Amino acid sequence: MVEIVKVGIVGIGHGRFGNRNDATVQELAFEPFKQAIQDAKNLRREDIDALVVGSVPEYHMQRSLPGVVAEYVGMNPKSTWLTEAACASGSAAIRTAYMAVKSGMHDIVAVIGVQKMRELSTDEILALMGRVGDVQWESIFGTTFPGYYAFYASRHMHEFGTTMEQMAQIAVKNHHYGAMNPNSFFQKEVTVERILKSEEVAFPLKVFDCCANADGAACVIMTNEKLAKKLNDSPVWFEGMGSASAAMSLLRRPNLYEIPSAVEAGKQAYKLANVKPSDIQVAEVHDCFTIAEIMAYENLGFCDKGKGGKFIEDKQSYIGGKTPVNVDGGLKAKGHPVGATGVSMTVEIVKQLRGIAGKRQVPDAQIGLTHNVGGIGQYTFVNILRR
Amino acid sequence: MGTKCEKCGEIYFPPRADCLKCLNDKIEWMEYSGKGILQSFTTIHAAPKGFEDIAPYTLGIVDLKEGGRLIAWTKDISEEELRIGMSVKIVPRIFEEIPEIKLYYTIEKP
Repeated sequence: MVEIVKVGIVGIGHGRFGNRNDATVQELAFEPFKQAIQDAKNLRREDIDALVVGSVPEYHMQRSLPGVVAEYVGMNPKSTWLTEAACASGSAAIRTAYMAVKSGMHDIVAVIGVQKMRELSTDEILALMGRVGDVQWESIFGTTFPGYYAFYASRHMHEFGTTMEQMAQIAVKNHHYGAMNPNSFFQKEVTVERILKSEEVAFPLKVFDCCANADGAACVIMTNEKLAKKLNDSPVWFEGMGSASAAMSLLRRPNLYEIPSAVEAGKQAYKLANVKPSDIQVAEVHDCFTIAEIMAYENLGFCDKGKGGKFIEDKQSYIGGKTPVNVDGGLKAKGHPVGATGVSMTVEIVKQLRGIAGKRQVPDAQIGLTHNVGGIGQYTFVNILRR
Repeated sequence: MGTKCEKCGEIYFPPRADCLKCLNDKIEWMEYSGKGILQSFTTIHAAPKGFEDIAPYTLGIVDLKEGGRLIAWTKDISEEELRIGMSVKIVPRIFEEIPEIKLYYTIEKP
C-alpha cells in the first residue's frame, strides 16, 4: 500500500512590497528566507534540501535567477530551479515543491517568490505585459494588460449589470485592509468617489482599479508530515491542490466574463480537500484588477455567476461577511511583484490559520484558500489549506 | 482570410497551420465576409511603448460570422456609440508606414 504523505508549511517569511531601490533581487529574496528559517522551530539552513524560485525572468537584468538567489541565501550546493507561469509563478513554485515533498524526492523545500519590477518604466511594462496575448494577432493593435481585463469588465457589465461603483468597492475594501498591513505598498484608505474620479487607464478601468507593479519577495518552507511536527507546533497543511490552463488568446475562449482555468482549478481543489466553497473561511484571490476579484468570487463559487458585484456591495467579502477575501490588502494594496504574489497569498493564509494576523484576523479560521491567476487566465492555481 | 481544415472542415480565425480538432496539417485558405458581432471593447489611455502617439484608441473584440474572433481598432464608431451585441463590419487595411506589419483590420459600421 502506498503511504499517503501530507505536505505542510513550517516556516513563513514576507518582505516589504513596493519601491525597493534599496535592494537587489537576491537581497529581496534574502529577507523572507531568513524570516522563514527563524519562524520554523530548530530548522538549520543545511537541513533544507532544495530551493524553488518563482519568478518571471523578463523583468530582471539578472539572468537565470535561481543561480544568483541560491548563492546569496547560501543554498549551494543544494538543488535549485525556476518555475514560471506569469503572475502565478509563485504558486507554480509551491506546486513543484509540493510534488518534490510528496514524491519523497526531497524532505524540506524552501520556496521563494521574488520579483523586481521597477527596474523597467511603466510603458515598457505595458508593452511587455501586453504581449501576454497573441503577439501576431493581438499585440499589433497595442493591447495592454489592463486592456485585456477591461475587455472582461465591459463584457461582465453588459452580461450581468456589474457597475463601476461595485468595482470601486473592491478597491475600497482592499485598501481598507492594506492600511493594516505593514508589508503593503499602499497603506492608506480610499473612497469610491476618489476611485471613480481617478485617471482612465483602459475604459472602464481607472488607475484605482489596477494593482501596482512592485518589488518584493515572500518565502514558505514545506515538508512532509513526519518532519513538520518537529519543525513547527502548528503546521498548516495543503489539503487541495488545483491547477489548470486556458487558451493564451482571448480570441479562443468560450466567453469573456469568466476565467475557465480558475473554475477548473477550483473544482479540483475542492474535490481533493473534500470541502465546498461555503466551507472556505478566508481567501486570498488574484485581484490584479478590481473586476478580477469580482470574477474570482463567481469562478470559485463564493457566489452565483453574475452576482460578484452584489457580493462586494453587500460586504460579503469583508471580515464578518460570508467569505472574507484579501484581508491583507490583496494585490491592490500590497502591490504585485508577480513572482512573489502566490507565495505572499500563501503566507497570509498561514498567518490566518495560525491565528496570528492581528487586527485583520478572521476569527477562528480553520480552512483557507489561495487563488493565483497567471496572465489573463492562461494559468490558475487554487490551493486549499487547513490548520 | 481564415483557414479551413481540408479533412474535418473546421474553420479558424486567427488562421492556424494545424487543425486543433483532428490534428491534420493540410489546410486551405478561406475568404471571410467581414460580418461580425461586437463582443467587448476598451479604450486604451495608458499605451504601451510605441503606441503613445495614437492613444487614446478603442479596441473591440468581434465574433466573426463564419467562425473565430478578432481584436481590432474601431474606426468610424465612437466609444459612446459602441454597444456590445451590435453588428459590425471588419475592413482589412494595409499599413503603409510599417512594412513589417503590413495587414491590419478596423471595426466599422456595417
